[in-house]
Amino acid sequence: MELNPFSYEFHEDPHPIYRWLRDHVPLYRSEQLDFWALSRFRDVLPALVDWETYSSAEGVVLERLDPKMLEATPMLISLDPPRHDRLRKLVSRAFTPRRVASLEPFVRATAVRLLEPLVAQGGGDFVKDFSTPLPMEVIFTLLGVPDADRRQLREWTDLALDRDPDTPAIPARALEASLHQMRYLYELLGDLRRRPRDGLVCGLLEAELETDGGTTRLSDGEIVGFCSLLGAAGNETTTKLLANAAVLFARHPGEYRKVLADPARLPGAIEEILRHSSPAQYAARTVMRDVEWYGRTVPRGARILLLIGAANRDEREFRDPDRFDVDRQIPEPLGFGQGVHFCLGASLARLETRVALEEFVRCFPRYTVDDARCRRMHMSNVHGFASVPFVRE
Amino acid sequence: MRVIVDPVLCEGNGVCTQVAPEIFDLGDDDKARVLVEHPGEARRAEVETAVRRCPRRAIRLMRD
Repeated sequence: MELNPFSYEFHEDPHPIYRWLRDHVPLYRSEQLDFWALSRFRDVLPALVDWETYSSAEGVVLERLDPKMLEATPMLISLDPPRHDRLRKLVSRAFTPRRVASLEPFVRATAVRLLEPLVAQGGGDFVKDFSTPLPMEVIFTLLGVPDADRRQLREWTDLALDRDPDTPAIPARALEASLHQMRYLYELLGDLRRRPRDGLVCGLLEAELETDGGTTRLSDGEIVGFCSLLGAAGNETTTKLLANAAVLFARHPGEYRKVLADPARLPGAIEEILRHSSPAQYAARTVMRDVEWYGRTVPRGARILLLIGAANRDEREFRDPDRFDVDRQIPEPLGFGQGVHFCLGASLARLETRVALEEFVRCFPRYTVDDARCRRMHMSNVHGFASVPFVRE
Repeated sequence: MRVIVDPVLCEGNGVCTQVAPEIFDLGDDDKARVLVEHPGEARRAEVETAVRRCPRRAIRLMRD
């Protein structure tokens, strides 16, 4: 067996490989793609927390990112402290659970509006018609992107993360799309500077941070980097989490009935979806000093994958880990990472997913998914569906 | 033991306030506040769970 995060077969079902890794090669080495990987829960968790040893500065995907681009538009996800902490402090206020809670009526109204035509038709494509437009409306409203531009911007975001089978080389179409996206965001920023309005981006333009050397503000590059990250992370992951939920519930009608009978179980069910089928399958890091794992030395400078998707199915940590159980207690959730890089949007993702599923459950108490026609997306570290056709029963 | 919340790391995820509501509370600035700075040994398990479950690793437990 081998682990190739770019293999389309692996995207279909990574779990046989994950099990093999946990049981037989808990420290995995790929000579071909030049990386290492950890897969057991009790190895992945401390490594995620130890940012000093496991650096994010070269990006958190296996493919090589352009260092010039990382520098021009720095993103939280690929910065180490102290630069990470400065930026995070400026943006985190907008994402506290309390601030996020105020978005609930807007999220619900959007979910209801998107579900109306699906109810009338008796089904549709869960991804195209519901789990893609919902986070898109939320994130682009936060960013102040005009309605007319949203679909195009979301297409660039999707395309920027699209990968060819088996190879870590970033395809030309993806590079081109990310340039379009960056150019658009610079233009949006210029527009918001000339005509300020309420919203997150204008808040970022004004945000000031007291430091030892005086007051600092975010540079244009930092704001564009943040908007680009929010556009990708806030769209891709929530879209996939929601669709994974729709597929899991269709495959486990007994678990769906529990949620139908008592929607208060949804927050717990969402934690289980994040464990069982988390959108984020790994976080890549660069090792900053020689580290020992299972009698081998991972040398300084090496790339290592912390396999969240594998850790979440570790039988050493979870009883009957492949079982989907909406009542499972999960003491240390990994789906949003842990430590300084803990997902800034976790509260928003949890809120969007809960509200979307509350409304979906109400509209579609019985439905089936056409498994044969489901299609997967092929990105590097995010797993999920491109299409999930469903019909009311 | 003494409980400390690092205000720089804390982002108000509120996990500690659910695990140990008598020890932690969310302040007006959306950061966790320690209500009982020196909880007795009887509360150790609860506090240690909060330390372990804080996604930002913002809670520290010190010796008196």
